[in-house]
Amino acid sequence: MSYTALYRAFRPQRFLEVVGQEHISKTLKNALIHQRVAHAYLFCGPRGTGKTSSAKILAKAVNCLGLTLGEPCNECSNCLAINAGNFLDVLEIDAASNRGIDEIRDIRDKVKFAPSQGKSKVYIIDEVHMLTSEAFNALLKTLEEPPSHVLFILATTEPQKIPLTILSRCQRFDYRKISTSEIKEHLLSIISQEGIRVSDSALNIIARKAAGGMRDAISVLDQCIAFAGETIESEDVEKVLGTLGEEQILKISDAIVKGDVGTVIFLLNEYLQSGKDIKQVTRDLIEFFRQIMLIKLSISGEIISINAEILPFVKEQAASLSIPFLGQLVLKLNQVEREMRWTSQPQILLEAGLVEVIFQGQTLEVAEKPTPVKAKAVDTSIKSEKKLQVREEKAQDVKENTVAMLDVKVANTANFQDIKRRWPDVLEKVKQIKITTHAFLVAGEPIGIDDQGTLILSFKENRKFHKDKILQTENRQLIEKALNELFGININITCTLEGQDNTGANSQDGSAFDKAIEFFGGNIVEIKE
Amino acid sequence: MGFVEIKGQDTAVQILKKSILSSHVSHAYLFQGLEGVGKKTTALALAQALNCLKFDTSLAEACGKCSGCIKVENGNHPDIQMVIPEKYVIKIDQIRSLKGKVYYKCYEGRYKVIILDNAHNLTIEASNSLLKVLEEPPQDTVFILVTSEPGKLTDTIISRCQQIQFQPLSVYTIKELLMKKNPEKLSQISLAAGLAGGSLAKAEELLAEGEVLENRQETINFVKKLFELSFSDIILWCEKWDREKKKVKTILEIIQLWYRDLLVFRTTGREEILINQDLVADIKNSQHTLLNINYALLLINESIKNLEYNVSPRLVLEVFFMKLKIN
Repeated sequence: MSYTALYRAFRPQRFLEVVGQEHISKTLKNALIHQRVAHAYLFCGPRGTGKTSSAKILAKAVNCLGLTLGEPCNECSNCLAINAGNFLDVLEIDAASNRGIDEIRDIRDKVKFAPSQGKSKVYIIDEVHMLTSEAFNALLKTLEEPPSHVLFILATTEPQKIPLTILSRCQRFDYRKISTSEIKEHLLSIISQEGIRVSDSALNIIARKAAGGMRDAISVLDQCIAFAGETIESEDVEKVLGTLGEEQILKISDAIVKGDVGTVIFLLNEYLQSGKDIKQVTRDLIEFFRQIMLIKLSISGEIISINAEILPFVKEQAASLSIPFLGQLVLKLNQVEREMRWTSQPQILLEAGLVEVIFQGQTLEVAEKPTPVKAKAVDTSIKSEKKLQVREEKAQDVKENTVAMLDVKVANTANFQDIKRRWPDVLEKVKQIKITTHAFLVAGEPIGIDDQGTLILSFKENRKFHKDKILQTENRQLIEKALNELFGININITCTLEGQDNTGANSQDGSAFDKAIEFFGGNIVEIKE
Repeated sequence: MGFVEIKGQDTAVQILKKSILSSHVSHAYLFQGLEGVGKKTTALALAQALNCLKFDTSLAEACGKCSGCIKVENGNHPDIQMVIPEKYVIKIDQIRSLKGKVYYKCYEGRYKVIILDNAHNLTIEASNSLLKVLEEPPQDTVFILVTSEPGKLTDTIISRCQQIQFQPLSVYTIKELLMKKNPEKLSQISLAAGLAGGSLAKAEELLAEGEVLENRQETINFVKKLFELSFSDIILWCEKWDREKKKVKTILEIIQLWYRDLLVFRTTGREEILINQDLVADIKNSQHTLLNINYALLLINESIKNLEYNVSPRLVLEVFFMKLKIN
């Protein structure tokens, strides 16, 4: 006798056993009690939420000889035959395999015949989203006005692929994802029937991993039973799933909180060496930081799935992180997880992502305070200088001055990039204050920030008039004020005409020449006639 | 064949063995992990164990001598079906014909084992038509879906299978396996093992194109002096590589590993977790800032992705080097 997977053995046989879909079970039961069962139903919702199971139960209920309070008895001959899968009037059709118009025509032809065994003929059309559009259309007439002894139940995970004409002919029920606590409760009842001991924390991990799908949860439980036998501890589950243990997560998040990139990368290597799955690790980190974010936002209740034992440590970590940083971290990790599908070296991706976000987080603190450009630039350089120094000392001596210089430049351009990116905002702002100034300003565009921290606007050669207007004190001050409001910085502006330089930026010519050489290489040749 | 010969996948093998012993064999498995780490071998080992006529329960190993085992080994066991992509995809017709066969009883073994190799190549239609039979297959049927890219499978397929993770192999394991097969290439083995990123198949490929390894030095030297080179030099180099028919992806991956080492060393200061073990001195001497390294890694990732989207390889390489230099 071969083994039947738990999720098949524990398929619900009564509406009462369908977990987490009370809103649907109640409606269906009442319909059965008051004999108001419609002729077409559409069950839709994510995987493992009970669509096919409900369809089978409904098929039983309409044919059951001893229906009590809307529940099938599971004892009469009809129920038993349906459970065994040899009842002639319940037809379960796999629409994904039989998706053509011919199969639907076949149904249409046979629908007319009266049920041979039971009270009504039930067609369960599963994965109905895979029918071809011809097949859908062929079904329309039958679906709208079937003979009185026929019941159609369509089930799908992707209702958006079903034509509106089909949708409007069915009573639609949306299955929702099952909450972690409901999954846990159901797993508890399964393990007590199977006579297995599972620790509470192990159950938590399984329920969380399932992400709303009961089948996923039972499947993992099954796998754990195969692996560990009668008693299952959280370590067994972690091993089977390749997830991180609580302690491991705390360790690495602690390093992230402290900005200690070295430890982060070292721990990551250690975990992967010990057989953790990189994608699972990424997902674990995302979930953990999401939890921290929730704690930070003072959300409590069921949504917080962190173990009470480690909660104080987590709260401590939460205290030293800012919400924007957490948001960035979760976003970045999400992005990394998505990108992992494409790369053959997912570990490098995660390492680089974490380094990036940790460093961003550190400069972010600085960026939050609105300070004048120049002061800010210096500020950044000192900060990152400090950070770098620690690492640099380990590796080798780097001339500090060059690093500082480099950073000033970086900060300056970074700021300029910011302004350039949000230039449309600036235009909008100016437009609100004075529309004529806006008309002059649109002719120009920002091209850089010079050494004095002045923003340079460039105008086309034939727009000298616009340039002169902008340079008038009134207009200039207005734009500077707008910049101040938008970026929180005091910045002056100056204008230049394309082609000719009148602001003293005299090195333009030479640098273009140098750049050309840099781009193309080569020698300087003088042509004599 | 057999479970003994699968190296470095202790957890996966342990789970499977225990399921056989406790007769908890699931009707659907999803084997996921990098390419070339032993997923298909394990699938065949499982098929053998399930159909061995003299199964040794004390070791949980197939005997390897009975007719069942020999037939599995030779690939002609009537109860074992291998579904492989036709022209890069597994089509719905393949699944339909499979479903026709699944409902027959076993010919001679105990289990019908269906192995879907590279299951991520299932078309949408094919994977949907697999759903029903995957959820409730007839008795004594085991589906094994093998994939290196589980992200491409639909949720509905994944949810019906027991997922078994296959880990990247450790450098040590790869070295050992390579030594057995190619004892003559001793000098290159440890390097290939390091660069393979945990995949035996990749390591073998690298070893076979021995040239790639020799060119690693050239590539890395090029990257190191990138900032002194002019743009025309870059284009000339790319042209040269293009002429020599170098694989752009391999070049990028070599550079990726180099920058990864820089990043790891700069942040942790530990030598033992570096991949380019022979270049430790160079790595120590590198002048890059962390921001630079990080930017380079992002660029490489983007470039590799572009290659997947069929962008001209030479253009990808040129643009990559230019961007790297400008930064």
